[in-house]
Amino acid sequence: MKKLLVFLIPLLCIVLMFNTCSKKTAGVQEDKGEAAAKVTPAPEQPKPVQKPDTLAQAPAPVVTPPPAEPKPVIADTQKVAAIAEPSLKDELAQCNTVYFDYDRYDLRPDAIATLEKAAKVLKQYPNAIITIEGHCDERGTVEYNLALGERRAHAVKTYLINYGIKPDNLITISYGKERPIDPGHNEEAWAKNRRAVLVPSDSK
Amino acid sequence: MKKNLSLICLISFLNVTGSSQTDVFLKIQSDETRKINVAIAEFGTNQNPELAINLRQIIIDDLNYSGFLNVVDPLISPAGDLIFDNSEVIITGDVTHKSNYFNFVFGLTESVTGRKLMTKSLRSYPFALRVLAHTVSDEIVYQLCGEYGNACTKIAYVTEQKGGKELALMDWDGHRATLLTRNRSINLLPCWSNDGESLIFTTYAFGGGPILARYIFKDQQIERFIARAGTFTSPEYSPNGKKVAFVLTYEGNADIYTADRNGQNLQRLTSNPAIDTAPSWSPNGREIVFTSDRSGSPQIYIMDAEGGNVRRLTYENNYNSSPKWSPKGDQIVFVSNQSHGFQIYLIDVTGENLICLTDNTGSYENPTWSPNGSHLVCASNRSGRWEIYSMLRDGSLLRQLTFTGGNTGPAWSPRLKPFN
Repeated sequence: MKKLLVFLIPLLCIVLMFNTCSKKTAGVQEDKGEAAAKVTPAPEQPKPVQKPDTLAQAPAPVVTPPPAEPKPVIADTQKVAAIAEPSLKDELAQCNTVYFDYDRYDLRPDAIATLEKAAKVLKQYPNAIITIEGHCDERGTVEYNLALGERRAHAVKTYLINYGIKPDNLITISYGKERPIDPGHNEEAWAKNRRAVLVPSDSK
Repeated sequence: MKKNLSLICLISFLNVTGSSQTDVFLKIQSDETRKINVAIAEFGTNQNPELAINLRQIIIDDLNYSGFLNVVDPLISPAGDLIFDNSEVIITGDVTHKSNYFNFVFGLTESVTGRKLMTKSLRSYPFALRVLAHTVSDEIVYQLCGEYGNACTKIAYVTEQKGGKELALMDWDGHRATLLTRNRSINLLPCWSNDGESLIFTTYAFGGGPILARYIFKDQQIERFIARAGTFTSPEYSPNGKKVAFVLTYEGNADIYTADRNGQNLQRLTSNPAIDTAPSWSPNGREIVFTSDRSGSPQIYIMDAEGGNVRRLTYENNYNSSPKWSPKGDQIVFVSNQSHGFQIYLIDVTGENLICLTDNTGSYENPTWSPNGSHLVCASNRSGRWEIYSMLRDGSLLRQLTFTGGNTGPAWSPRLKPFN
C-alpha cells in the first residue's frame, strides 16, 4: 500500500495540474455556490499520508483559496478515488452518529453539533454518496419504529441539505429496531440505539 | 411447503357415514363459556401400538387447546370397567395398517344415549401422522361445534438466523418448524393471503431500504411486490385477497396506501404529516384500523377503506400500536406500552370494553388472530428471549410454541387446503 501511495502521489499531482487547467470553470462555479464562505475543503493530496486523528481537525481554521482542487480528482481517476474514499470514512468516523430521545426525531443540541462537523467533512466530498440510517430502541412496535427510524434519518438529511449538501447524495434507510448496536435492555443501551448513522457509500 | 401440501393431499376421505350433527351440540356452541366434555377411548390397532398412542395424544392436545372441547379421563367402576358419565361425547378410533400406509376409522358417540353421531375413515402414512391427527381434531370440533378448529392451520413468523432475520413456518402447535427464506437479510411482518398460497412481507433483501415482497409457497420463490422505488413497509392483504394495504414513507412521512393484488394502482388513504402505519382490514373489507401519532402519541384509529371518515379508537395509555381486526369483526387486538413493557389489549370496535389479556410478565408484540377468531398468536420476551406464544382470545391457555430465541412477528394462516 505504501509503495502504491508513493507512486500515486506524484501521478496525482500531475493529473491535478492538468485538470485544474482544463476543467476549472465548471468545478469552481459549482463549489462557490454551495460552500459559501466559511467552509473550506482540506487539501486533498496529503490526506492519505496523514493519520485520521489529525485529519478531523484539518478543515476548520485556515481559509485556502482553490476550492476546485479536490473535485476533479474524485471525478476523474478511479485510482485516486480509491485512496480518497477511506479518508472520508475516517473523517466521518468522528461525527457519523447522532442520538435521539425516546419516540422523538427532533435533533438535540448535541446532535446538531455533531452534524455540523459532519457537514463540514461532507462539503469536501461533493460527490460522495451518504446513506443515513435511522434506528430505534426496542421499546416500540416493529411497524411504528420503521416509520420513526425513517423520520430520524430524514431529520438528519434535512439538516445536511440546509447546510448545502446535495439532496441527491443523501439516501435514507430506516432499520427500525432491527439493528440495535447495543443488545442490552436498559436505558444505557436504549440511548445508544436511538440513533442515526452516516455511512459513506462504497462506490462512486 | 411443497412437501407439506402433498402430505395433506395423501389423506383421502374414504367414506362419511351418519354425519348428522345433532341439535344438542350446536346449541352448546352458542354458549361460549361452556366447553363440551369429551372422552377419548384408547385407539385399537392391528400392529403398531406406538403410532396409535401418539395419534391419540396429538388429538387430545389439539382438542384441549381448541377452546371448544375439554378432554376428560373416563371414570373406572369398582369392577374395572370404564364409565363415561363425566363426558358428553365418546371418541373412538381404530388404526389398521396396510403395506406402507394405514387407515384410521374414528367415531363420535353420545354418552347418554349411546347414539352414533358420526363415523369417518381416513388414510395416511406414518410420516404424516401429525397432519392426520390435526385433520381428525378439526373434524371432531366441526362435528360437535359447527365450526372448524385451528389444528390444520400454520403460523408464519420471523426467526433470527446467522446473518439475518428469516421467515419461518410451523404448525399451530409449534411442531414441524421450517425456514422459508435464506437471504441473510432482514425479513419482517409476514401476512397471509386469504387463499393461504402466499405471504406478503417487508424485506431488505433487494438492497437499500425496506420494500414489499411476496413468498409464493408453490414455487418457494420471493418476488417483489411493487416495482417502483420507495420505502414500503407493513403490508396486509384485504380479506378477499384483491388488495394490499401498506405503508409508503416519503420525505420521512409514513402514510397508508392500498394497491391491487398485482402491485399496481396505488391509492393513498392518509395524507397526514404524522406517522400513519400498521393497517389492518375489517373482515368485510370496508374499513381499516391503523396506528397514528397525529394526536402527539401513537394511538389506534379506524377509517373507511378509501381513507375517509377517520375516528380515534383508543384514548387510554400513551403508546398503542399494532392493531389487528378480529375475524368476527367485533373487536380490535393491539399492544399498549405499560410500565412492564407492551401488553396485549382487546377493545370493541365501538371503543368500549378495553381489557388486558396479558400478565405484565415481559413484553408482547404483534398479536394476530386465528382464522376463526378463537385464538391469538403473538411474540413475547417473557422467558427472557423472544418466542412465539398462542392463547385463547380471553388470554387463557398461554402456550409457548418456539424455544430457540429470536422469534417474532407471527401471522396465523387461514385454513389450508384441502379443508376450505
